[in-house]
Amino acid sequence: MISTSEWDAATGVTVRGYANTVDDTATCTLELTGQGAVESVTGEALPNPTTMSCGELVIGPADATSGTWTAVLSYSSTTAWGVSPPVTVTVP
Amino acid sequence: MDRVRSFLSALAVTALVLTGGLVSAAPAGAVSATDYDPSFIISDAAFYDVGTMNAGQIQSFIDTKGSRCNPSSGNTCLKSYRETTNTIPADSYCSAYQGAGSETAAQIIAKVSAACRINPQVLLVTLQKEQGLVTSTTGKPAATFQRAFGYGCPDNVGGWCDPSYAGFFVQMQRAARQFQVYKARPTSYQYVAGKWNTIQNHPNAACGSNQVFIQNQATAALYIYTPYVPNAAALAAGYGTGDSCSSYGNRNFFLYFSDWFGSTGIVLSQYIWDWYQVPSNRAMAGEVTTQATGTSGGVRQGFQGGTVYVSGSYGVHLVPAGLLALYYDSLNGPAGVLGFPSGSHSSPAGGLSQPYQNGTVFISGATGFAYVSGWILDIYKAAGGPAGSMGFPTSGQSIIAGGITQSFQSGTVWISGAGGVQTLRPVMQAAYTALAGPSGSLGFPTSAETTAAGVTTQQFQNGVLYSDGTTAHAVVGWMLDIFKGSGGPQGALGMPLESQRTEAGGIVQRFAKGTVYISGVGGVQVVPATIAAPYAASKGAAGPLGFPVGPATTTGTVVSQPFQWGVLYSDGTTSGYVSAGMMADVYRSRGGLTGELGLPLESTRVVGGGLVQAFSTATMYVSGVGGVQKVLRGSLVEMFYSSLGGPTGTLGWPAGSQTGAAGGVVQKFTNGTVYISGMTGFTYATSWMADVYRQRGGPEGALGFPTSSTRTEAGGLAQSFQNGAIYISGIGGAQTVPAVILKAYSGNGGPAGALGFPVSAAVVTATETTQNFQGGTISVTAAGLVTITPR
Repeated sequence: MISTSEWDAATGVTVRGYANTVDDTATCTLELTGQGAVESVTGEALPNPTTMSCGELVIGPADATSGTWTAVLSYSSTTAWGVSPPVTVTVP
Repeated sequence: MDRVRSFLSALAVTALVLTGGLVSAAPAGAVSATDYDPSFIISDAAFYDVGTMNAGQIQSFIDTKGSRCNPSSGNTCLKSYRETTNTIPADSYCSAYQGAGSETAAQIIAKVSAACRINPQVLLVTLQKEQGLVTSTTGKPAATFQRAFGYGCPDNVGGWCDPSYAGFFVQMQRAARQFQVYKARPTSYQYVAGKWNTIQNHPNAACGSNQVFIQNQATAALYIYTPYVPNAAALAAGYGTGDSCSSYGNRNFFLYFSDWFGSTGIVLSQYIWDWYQVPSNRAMAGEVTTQATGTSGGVRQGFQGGTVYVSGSYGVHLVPAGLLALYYDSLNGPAGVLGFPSGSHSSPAGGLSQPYQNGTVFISGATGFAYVSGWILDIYKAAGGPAGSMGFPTSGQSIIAGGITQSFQSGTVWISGAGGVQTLRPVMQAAYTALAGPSGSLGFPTSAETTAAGVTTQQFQNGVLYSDGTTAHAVVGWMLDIFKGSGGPQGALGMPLESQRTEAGGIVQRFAKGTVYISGVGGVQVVPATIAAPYAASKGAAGPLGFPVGPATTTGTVVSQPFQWGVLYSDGTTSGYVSAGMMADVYRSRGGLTGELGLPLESTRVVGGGLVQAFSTATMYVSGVGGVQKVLRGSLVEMFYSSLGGPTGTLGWPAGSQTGAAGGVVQKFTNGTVYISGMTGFTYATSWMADVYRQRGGPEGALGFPTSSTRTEAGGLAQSFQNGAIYISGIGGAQTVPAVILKAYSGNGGPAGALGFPVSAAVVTATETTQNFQGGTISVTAAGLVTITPR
């Protein structure tokens, strides 16, 4: 699930979330859809005692242009895969 | 709580909070689940505080909480649990853990707490909220200990746990380390302090979520570790069960921690927290007692041991409770003259001291409170501070006449452009202060004091202070030139006994051997002590004598000195001045001091328009009506004259000298004549009666000496004599009534009787004496027969 999503002019769109599983290694991918474009970024998931964190996935301001975007976070490991409910992110 | 919350919001993630054993703990059970603040579960200060309990205290706590634990078959109580631990080397988040055989749970908790810098109370509460290990009454099986912290046990796999994290010690070390990982990478995980976060109520996403503004890192860490926020049903249930969407991990953490260790968190600023981690600082400060508040661009926070101040330029320092805090607060703290503390307090020379932004405070029982700053502080430090030669400050610093000054036990420091840095010892400073310091006649000191031949001197811009060690007096300007010219303290004038003063427009200063007067009319004159006393008694230069105009001279035992308006004489016991003018002329004409009058016994007096002055031999009277006359000192005339009021009394001014007559004495005054004899005593005759009496022979005549003074009877004058009486009336003129007639006359009422005043002289024949009166005739025969014949 996505736990935080935010925009600021300097950084762009930042999304954090987690997957309710535990793996040795996994990746998280943020996909922004909107404005006729799809922007994505992938990062390493970080292990927690009971979850895997997808922290600080960032799409910079050059790509996250003004408008309404739909953010989806996906998690992938050798044993698990999942997608978060979509979250709307507004870029002013 | 609202206040705390709003302040926390303002500080966001830069604030740390103390709770639990660090502060006065709330009583167990005082906090309920409804007090749960989803944005703030526990303070950073409490969460990362490693000093709250040692292994013994942890064991004691476990023993108490598990006192009723009686392990079921196959179970172990936490209080009895032991495990052999392996060594874990240090990494970026925890220091090394040195493994050991058969360690107790308390030992493991204490060692993990110390290695990973997590409050052991947090570890105890986590053991409880994950597995109920602390309060279990039947103990737990080995499998439960293997997953004691739920580390590696995801919620969606039916209770499976990653075997690589199995073990009580491993679970605890991994969990504690993970908390430090979150702290080191605060934005890399799903929940971030200082931001709004979406947190599910339950692993089932359908149960919904809350938006939570996480206020601090410790709370963020707990949500990352257990990613659920309790819903309303969970909070309403206390320790109990809510509904199917309730989660309990973080709620229980809050409840157990609050109930066991106190629930109130107090915010510490980041800098204060760092400072507080130094054991010596922590020992000084004790527990935090107040919220941090902003002050003068910095932060202040109360602790049991005082108040800690933070400023960007001067760091973090404690002002200890007590006298230092009292004084600092009285000076308005950091907003006042001292600014922020800039160093730790100390106890020099049995007192107290602490440096501040704008000066250093010094306190001692003998001197009270003061601070020293700037250039004087540099000097003071160079001299060794309170333990050095200057002792403690006894006053605050002040700026006077463009210089800087401050007093210390050993003396007062003065700094001026004219004199540099000089120190006045207390005796000198007292005299200097009495002379208005640098604003007065001396100006600023220009030298250190020196001592020679028992006299201590110190130079100033405009003069010198001389001291005998007990007192000090200044000599300045022209007087200083004169003083030095006379040989200074060892010379003709001796030590100054007072400071220079102005008197009647002149300059005056008293020295041991005389008083120097400087005036336009008299120039520079020295008045010796013998003269100075009576001169001062007559108001000195402002009195009737004015300024001295010549040097004193000595004649025998008498010292005299000329002044503007007379000459003052004194033999050390008796003194007086003779005013310039007529009295001076009279005195001079009579030989002055060595003449007939001798030493003045008093000063010239102005009485009733004339002058009077007593000398050794006589009192001189100078008047327009009586001229220059004297009344012999100690004479009967002087005694009687004085009893009648002197020049302003009955007799007026002397009009002649004392003479002898018929064995008595006579002296004429302007209003009458005094007659004194052994037989008749003291009498006087007023002027008309005196003239008649004198014409009739006076004391040497038939009447002899008066036996009464002149009196008024029936509108006329009467006076009795040894041999008769004189009556003066308008009708009868001046008539003598002989003694042979007088008895009958008086027996018939005298002038007030039927006979009235005599109108003729008595006629004396061989057989009788006859005298006519207004109302008849009195005849007295030789045999004494009296006949009164009315007219």
